[in-house]
Amino acid sequence: MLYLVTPLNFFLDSRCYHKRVTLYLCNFAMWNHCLKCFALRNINSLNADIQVQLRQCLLAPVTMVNKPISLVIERYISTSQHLHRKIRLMTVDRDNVNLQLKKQVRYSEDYIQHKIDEHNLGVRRLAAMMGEDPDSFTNEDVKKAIQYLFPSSLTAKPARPQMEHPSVVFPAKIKLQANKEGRPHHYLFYTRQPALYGLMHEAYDCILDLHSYADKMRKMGQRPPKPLDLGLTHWLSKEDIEKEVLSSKISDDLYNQFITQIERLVEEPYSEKYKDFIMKFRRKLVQRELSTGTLEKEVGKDGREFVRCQGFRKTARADVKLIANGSGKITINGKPMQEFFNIIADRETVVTPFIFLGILLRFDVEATVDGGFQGNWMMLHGKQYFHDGTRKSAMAGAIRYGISSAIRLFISPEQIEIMRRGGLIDIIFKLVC
Amino acid sequence: MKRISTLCSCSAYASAFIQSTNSFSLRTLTSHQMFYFKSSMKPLFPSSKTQQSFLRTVQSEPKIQVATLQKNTERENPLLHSDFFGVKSLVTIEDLYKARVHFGHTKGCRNELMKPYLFGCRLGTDIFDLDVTLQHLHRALNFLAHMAFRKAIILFIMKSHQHGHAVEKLAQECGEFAHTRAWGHGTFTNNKINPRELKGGIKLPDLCVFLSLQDTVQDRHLAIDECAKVGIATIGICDSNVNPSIITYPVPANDDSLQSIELFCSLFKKAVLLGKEKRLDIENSSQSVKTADSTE
Repeated sequence: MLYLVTPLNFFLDSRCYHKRVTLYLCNFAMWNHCLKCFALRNINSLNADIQVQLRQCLLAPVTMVNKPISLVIERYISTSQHLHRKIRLMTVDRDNVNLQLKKQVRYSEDYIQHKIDEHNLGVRRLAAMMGEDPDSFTNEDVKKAIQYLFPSSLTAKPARPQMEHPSVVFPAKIKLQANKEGRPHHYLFYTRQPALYGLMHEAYDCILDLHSYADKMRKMGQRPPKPLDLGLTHWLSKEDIEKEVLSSKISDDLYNQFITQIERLVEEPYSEKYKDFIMKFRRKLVQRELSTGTLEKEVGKDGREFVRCQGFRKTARADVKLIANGSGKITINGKPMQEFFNIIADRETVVTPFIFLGILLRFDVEATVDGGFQGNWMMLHGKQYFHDGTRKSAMAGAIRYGISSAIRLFISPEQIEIMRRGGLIDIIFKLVC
Repeated sequence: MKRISTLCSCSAYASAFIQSTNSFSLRTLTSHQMFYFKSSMKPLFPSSKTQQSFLRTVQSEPKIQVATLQKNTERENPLLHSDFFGVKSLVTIEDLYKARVHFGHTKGCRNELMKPYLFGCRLGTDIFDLDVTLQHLHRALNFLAHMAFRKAIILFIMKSHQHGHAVEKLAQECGEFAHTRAWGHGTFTNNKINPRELKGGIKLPDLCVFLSLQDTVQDRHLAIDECAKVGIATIGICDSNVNPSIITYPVPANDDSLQSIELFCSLFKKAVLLGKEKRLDIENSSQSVKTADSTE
């Protein structure tokens, strides 16, 4: 309990070099007090600068009794007053090193913005160096360029030359995830994905609640209602969930688990009770603009509205004129459809958009079409293919595309979206022979 | 009155000391004498605070005798008490039997290390000895309550699709933590995974309670090894097909039935809450005693 006190008599020696002084003060306050007084009494025999330091040290309030008071005094290497050179004892600035490692140093927003501007400029310069277009120089291109310009075979990847965006280098503000004692706030913290698993737990709570509710209703003799209609919505993508719901990245596997859990909730009877919770993870289907250009309704001599549109499939091209208030007449190259298309499959192709929307007899179609397969084929697999006027499926496809593009102007946006999902609007132009 | 009391106290102390000069043994002293003996073991030059309290106890002894004795029992070390939280009254062997805790796995699945805990094998199914189970369970619950009393971070682990929800709920109701999902390699051991969080001053758990030692893949749960590496105490419900060696407080019992898991969840919850309540009681009573002292 009682620590030994270093001999204080060397303090009285005011010559030449001084040593590092440590006063280990003992447990009881009374002893501390005595030692302090003794030291202060003899302080006048020391050098001036040491006096100041010692006085400051001793008169400071001692909060922890066991804590040793240590003085680091500048050390003179020679006895001569003229030739004294001060050598500071090497002290590692531990606080700074730790802060760099911990990345707890706070950088001002101006500083970070400045760094971002520098980075952007640097990327452009790098692109110019590499002979690339600066506007379309992606992050991956930057990495490749740096690897090319500064090749490094260091095994530690963080030690290799890098050019990262400042948002990666300067970490974002860390939310407090624990209290002072080091106890995390969230009960699922140690799973490393507390927010996501918390939501899955909630979803299962809802499922259990619905089980008991369904049991009650069954006892009362009520039939389960229709399944929940989610409308024209789709599940949030993985990126959306990472941004909006969580603040951290997740794996594909985890995302799939999460979606299956909520789909299970949707499948439960009476899940309308938790529709609000489910709709948090759903987004409305976004309409996409077509690339066929703007179409306008025109009014013909009869007074009926019509739309002119172009359609294509393989090498076939069709000019389609869709007339409203019709009776389901379809004429192609002046002939009725039944004459033009011998094969029933082709006729079905043309009529598909109307059947899909359930409006078979509302429109008239006048179309001129050319192209597609024409002429003899070579011998293939021992068979020879001839053009006998029956191979017109490309033309049928072209007309269909024209109709579905034109019909957009006559139907509601929701129906357009349904058509898009049915594959009638976004068509990949295949050049297949 | 005062003077007589001090004389009496001095004489009691003296007599006790005289008695024990030859064969120094504390057991010969009565509790009353022990109190004075203990107080005499203070340093020769005590600080002013302790001096004052010592004088107070001797001089004003008859007035606040009850309070000082209460103080003494509060200062009594809970670790020396056999059942500080009354955990033994939470379960009986009948409860365990009703909850099907005694059913083990089939004979073929048996891990030889579990043999000492088995009562026998009936129609190919291993049966646990519930007397032994109860002993282990008492120990485990007592330990759990003590840890909760000392404000430990307790992590309940169970990788089971059936029971995961119940365990998470248990953790929520206790105010502790749960992990019923896929265990990430190096959650405790890998500093790179959790650099910010752990350096931000978040502690690892002090105790891990395993409601099943197995992963769903019928392999040993990875967290058991990590706890052993990092020095975290563990309580584990060990079924007959499992290796209980590394677990600090194993409880040989059934971990597959719904009823047994429900029973264990409720027991763990009660133990944790008992510990926390006791901590609150002591903090509140110490505050009230302090206010009483300050008025005097």
